[in-house]
Amino acid sequence: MPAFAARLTRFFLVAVLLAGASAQAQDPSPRQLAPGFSARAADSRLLVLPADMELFSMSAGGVVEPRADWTDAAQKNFVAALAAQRKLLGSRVTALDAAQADEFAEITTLHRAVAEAISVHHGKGLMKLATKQDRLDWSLGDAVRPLKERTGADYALFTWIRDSYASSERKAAMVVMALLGAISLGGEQLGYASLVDLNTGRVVWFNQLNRMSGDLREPAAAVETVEALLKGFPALQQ
Amino acid sequence: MTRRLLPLALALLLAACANVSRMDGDQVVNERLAVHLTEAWNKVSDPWEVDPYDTWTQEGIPLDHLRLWGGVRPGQPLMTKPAMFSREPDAKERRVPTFRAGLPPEKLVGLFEELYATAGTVAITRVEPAMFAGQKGVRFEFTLARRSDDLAMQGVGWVAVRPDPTWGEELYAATFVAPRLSFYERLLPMAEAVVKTARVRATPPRS
Amino acid sequence: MDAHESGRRGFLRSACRHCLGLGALAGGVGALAQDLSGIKVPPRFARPASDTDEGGLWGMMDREEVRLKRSPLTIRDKELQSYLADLVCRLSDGHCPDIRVHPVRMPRFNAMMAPNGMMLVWSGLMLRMENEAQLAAVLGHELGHYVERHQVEQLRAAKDRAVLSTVVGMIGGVGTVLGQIGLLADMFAFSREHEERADRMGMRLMRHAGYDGREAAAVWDNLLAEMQVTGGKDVGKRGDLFETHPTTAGRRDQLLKLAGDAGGITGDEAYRKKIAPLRLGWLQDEVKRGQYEESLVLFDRMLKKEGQDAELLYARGEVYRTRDEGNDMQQALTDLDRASRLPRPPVGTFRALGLVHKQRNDRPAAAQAFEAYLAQAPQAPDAAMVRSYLADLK
Repeated sequence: MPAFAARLTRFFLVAVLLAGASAQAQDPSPRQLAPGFSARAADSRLLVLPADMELFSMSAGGVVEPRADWTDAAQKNFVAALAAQRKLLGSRVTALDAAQADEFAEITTLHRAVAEAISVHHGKGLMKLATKQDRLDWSLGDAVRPLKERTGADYALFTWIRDSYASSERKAAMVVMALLGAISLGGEQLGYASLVDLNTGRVVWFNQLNRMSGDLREPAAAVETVEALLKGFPALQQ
Repeated sequence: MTRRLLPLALALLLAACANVSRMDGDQVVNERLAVHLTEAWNKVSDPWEVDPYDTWTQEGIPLDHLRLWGGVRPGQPLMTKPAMFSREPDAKERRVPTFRAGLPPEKLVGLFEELYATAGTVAITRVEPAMFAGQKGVRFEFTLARRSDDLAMQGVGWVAVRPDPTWGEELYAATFVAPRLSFYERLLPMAEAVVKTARVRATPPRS
Repeated sequence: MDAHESGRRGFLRSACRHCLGLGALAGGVGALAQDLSGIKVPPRFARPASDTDEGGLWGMMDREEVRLKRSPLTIRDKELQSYLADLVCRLSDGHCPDIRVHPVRMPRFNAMMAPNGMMLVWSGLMLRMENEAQLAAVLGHELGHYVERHQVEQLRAAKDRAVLSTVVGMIGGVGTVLGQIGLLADMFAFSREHEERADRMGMRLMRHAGYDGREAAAVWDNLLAEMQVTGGKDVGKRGDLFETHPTTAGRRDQLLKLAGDAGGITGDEAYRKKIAPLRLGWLQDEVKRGQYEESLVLFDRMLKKEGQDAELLYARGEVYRTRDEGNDMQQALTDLDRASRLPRPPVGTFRALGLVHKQRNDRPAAAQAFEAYLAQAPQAPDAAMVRSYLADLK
């Protein structure tokens, strides 16, 4: 192989590896979809609930500290990034603000528990529920009815993000520890996006995020995070 | 320092290498309580085999559980000491609900009230005589406001005591807990179906 | 204040500035009230910028406060809420607009305050207070942490010491503040210095609001008695209970010195009236804790002051009945019987009596008690159970 081709190949390989590394939890797969569901009805309405979001800074010693300024910025960036996903989400999108969403706190709390169950039991590994037979098969049932009645929406999008960012001392510490051969972490982004059918209560789509990259503090990087969160989001039927 | 920051339940379970296995047909809890499953359940295995009950679930640990106790002897606790991830300024050794011989029915229910009080605010809403595992016992209903996330749970339990020549008495019990909204109603019939089949298994002869 | 007065106060103030250290409070000033006006109450502070560490704490606590308001553990009784708000307002010397008080249904002795002005008062604490002055002492102490912003200092100190983090917030939000209360306690566990400063500030606030400072010492006396029951005689002295709090015995002495003989309001009657409508539930919560020895110390103390209280007798009887060791059943019988003969005994009294009689094989007495219970509460949760007992007894 000519030298330049080898270099290109290496470049692509590295690019693919990096992309793979940062996108490890993002393969769109049938596992993300409830059985029998693949797309939203063409004229369906989507309700977006406020993201449940908290950003943290991690200091050199590992002290995790909530950062209100980052969380505030992230929430704004997130809303903007979502708006930029118009094509993906469709044109019939409504949102609840925090105060309005608070009226449905019981439903949100229930959903959070369901999402946790999906996170724990629908991934790979030993925690799978055999009775689910590898299907995304969870439903909130008639618990979602008040949301449906209030908003008239057909689907609701829930998102949850916990994001820690290594401070510069922390990054330095990580480099040192890496040199010493220890794996040290800081800068994880955890989250999920969940689409619930408000007519049945079923979770029809679920995407989990668990990676070491992503940054919600800056608008451009937030767009990437939202893209990662919504990877595989079901389109509208044409 | 390796420090994974994961949802607590997940972190605990992964750290402990818990695993889940499918249960159907005939099953035995603690070699003493036999049940028959017509529908499959998922058993969550306690990694250190420390919990004195079996935990089964339909929708997952964060949502519902069916716990079964078989042949608990006087002096044995109904639960292991709750892991103290918290340190309240005046924390001391917590009394753990422990079975004793000669407990009247309302005290047996009280043991389970104590047990669930570690998870949140419990209110017993109903107590009535009932059969369990072929013994005269008690059935009780309760609500639980889960402390970790404020989720409103609903629960039902059965407990019976059986005289035993070796130990004096043995306790058999089951509890089922699920979110009050939607899940409890849906899943209760499945739990009751299991509980109806519960029988005490005679002690196998010592070999 | 005229010039003559200010001269004298000025002298005392400068003397006391040096006095306000541990152990420097000489016995000689015992008879005089300590002049605490040397302690300055910091002025109200503005919301910190969100890009500061304090701002981060505020933001998180604001979100937790929203969750707290929805929690089933929040006590929604409007009268109690406004009583507490008013008390804290009078104590907080100008900080009133920044503070929100939340009573919560938690059966232990505790109160806490977050940097954003959210204050939690546990029902177990309110149950244990004998009067308004004692409550003022504890709330004043919490206000002391708040006005001097100790939590932020703690966070900074933790960072400096590179202490391993507690996983605050990464576990799906702090849950509710109450749910993760232990984590918060870890995060906000105060240094000895902070605790002492909060005690002094608390005394200052409480005295300025007109309360008798000696009641602050009584709070710790009572708490110590409860803790000694399970912790042994040396508990509190060795400081083994709170790693970062000063020992309670020493603390009590400090508070007494700070209080002097100044006197002031104690508000016994007013306090008792305020919590009367809610107290039975809190007593039942205490019994349910299952920490019988501590509950008995508490109920014995309360009954010493008010021997003819049906609710207290019922509660203590329930502890004996539940513990059921040694002579407990006899004790339970005595207490429950007394309670049943007082006007308006709690509904559970007859049920408990029935159970005790049943246990002691006094069938006619048991049947009578159970019938009285069912007559009072035919729809009780355990009515079916009690009816089956009655059938067995007949």
